[in-house]
Amino acid sequence: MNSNNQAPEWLLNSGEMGMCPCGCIGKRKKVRFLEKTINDIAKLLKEVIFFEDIAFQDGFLQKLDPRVKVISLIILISTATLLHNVFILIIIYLISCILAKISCISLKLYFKRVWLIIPLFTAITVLPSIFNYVRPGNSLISIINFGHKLYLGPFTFPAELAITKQGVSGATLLIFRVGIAVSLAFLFTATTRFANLMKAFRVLFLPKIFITILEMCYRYIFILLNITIDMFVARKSRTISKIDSKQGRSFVASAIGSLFGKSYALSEEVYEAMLSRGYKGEPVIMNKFKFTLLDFQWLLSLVICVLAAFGGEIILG
Amino acid sequence: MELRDVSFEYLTDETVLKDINLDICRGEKIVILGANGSGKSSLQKILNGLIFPSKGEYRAFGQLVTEDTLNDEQFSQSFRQRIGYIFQNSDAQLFSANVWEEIAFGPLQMKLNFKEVNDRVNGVIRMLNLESLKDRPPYKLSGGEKKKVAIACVLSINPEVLILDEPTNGLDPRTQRWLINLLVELNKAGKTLITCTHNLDIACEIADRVIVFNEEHKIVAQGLPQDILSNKELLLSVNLIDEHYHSHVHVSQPSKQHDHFHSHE
Repeated sequence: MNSNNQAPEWLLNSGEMGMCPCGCIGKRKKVRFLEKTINDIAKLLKEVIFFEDIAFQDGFLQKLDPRVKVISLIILISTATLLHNVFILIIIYLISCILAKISCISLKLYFKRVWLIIPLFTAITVLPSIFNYVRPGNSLISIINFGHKLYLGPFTFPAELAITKQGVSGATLLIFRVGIAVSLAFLFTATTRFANLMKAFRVLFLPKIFITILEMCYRYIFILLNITIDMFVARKSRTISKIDSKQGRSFVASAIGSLFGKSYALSEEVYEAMLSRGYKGEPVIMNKFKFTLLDFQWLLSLVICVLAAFGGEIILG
Repeated sequence: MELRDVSFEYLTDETVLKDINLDICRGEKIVILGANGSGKSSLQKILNGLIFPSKGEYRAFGQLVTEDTLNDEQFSQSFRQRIGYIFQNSDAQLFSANVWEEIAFGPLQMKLNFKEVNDRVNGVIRMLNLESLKDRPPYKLSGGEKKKVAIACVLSINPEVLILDEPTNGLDPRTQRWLINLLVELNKAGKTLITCTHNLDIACEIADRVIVFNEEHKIVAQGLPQDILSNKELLLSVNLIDEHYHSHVHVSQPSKQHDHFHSHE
């Protein structure tokens, strides 16, 4: 090494211990947003990769043609949203559980993915509709009786605030419908590889360019997530003392800026790579899907089930 | 391929290439050497018709290559088909959903029929031993595997000219050796190789001619690899090596004996 770029003397000494010289025990720090963010990103990554794993298993739904699955999903979701009878909806849900089981999806995961979050959000949305102030009906549980009508500006409310029978049954029906629709969507998307699912959307006449963009988005989300994780980990490895929230915020802001710059540079390079391999603005894509006897049998049984469900609805009322 | 007085700049007054004159013959193996930022990658991009000279002209296969001539669909298709570019960053090159589709992308854009695409993709997969990876998405590949797939997806187009940007970067020694052998084999089959590298140890094997760039973005020397690599003064002047540089030379004997010798000045 010549004298111009010689390492400074402090760099050549063995490193400082970085611990308090009095030998006291350090305070245990709380998990801050930084670590939390890294963990959340890593978790998201793992989850997405994990669901691709289900699609690679040798289950029943995995064997079906993705185009047939897209059509089936639309038929099933439309059926679930058109039915009014909770009993028939439950039967449809039970059938979906059997499908999940024979498609190598653990029932625990199947329940957890849907029923932990979806009903909660739907319940919050439909909560007001169970009260007679929003949707008048036969009182089921009386909550408060004011003794006289309430006037609020131009609105007049009944004297009694109550949960109504119609409100509760309407809310239950909606929660069931949403839960079943989301479960079915999860079932069909988790058992289909993302790329095949995208190509199968061609049966819905989605333009090729749209499908290609979606596919590439999915692909590059991973790369950008990896870059983000690397940035956070690199920051963590150099975080010696406590960071205050202002510093934290400024780091996140600069990380966002840097990620934007990197993704822009990457997008340019990807476009060049596509050009170099003959891309002319209209991608040519190919699918290797085959409509088999199993697909035919599945579609036939699906149509029979849907007709039976509507028949049951008419009979049961 | 001919470059005549080619200069290029991304921003005004920030020259990346200056007055480049270069002829590349069919079946040649060329290695471009130069320090970081000397303009090697930009030159490769010009050769691949991804960027265009700000001054001078570039002709490939007897025809002028400009933004305008590449708008001609027929010329563009034949040009893209004849030149394959392997990027330094494999992630930029692997944009499809899985390895099979990635390799099929090029042949599909060439409007080959599906049977031909199938044959080509499966042929390349067999040749490069990628059977176990063909359904994998690119994010589940290691660095070496990504490079293999990047090479496979360019080979499936069957180009006459292969342009490689730092092909051995980030590869373990075993994969590096595999890659060098493959490149030599491809060259024997008649492919022209244009490689940018900092790895001076491999230059001898993948070059008939070495071109050296200096930090002023000009070509300062070209010649036989042995002559250039033994010219320590030249390599020092372009800031490619330091005074302690020494080379490890691999010599393959026809009797399959493999010797290494080590020289240190």
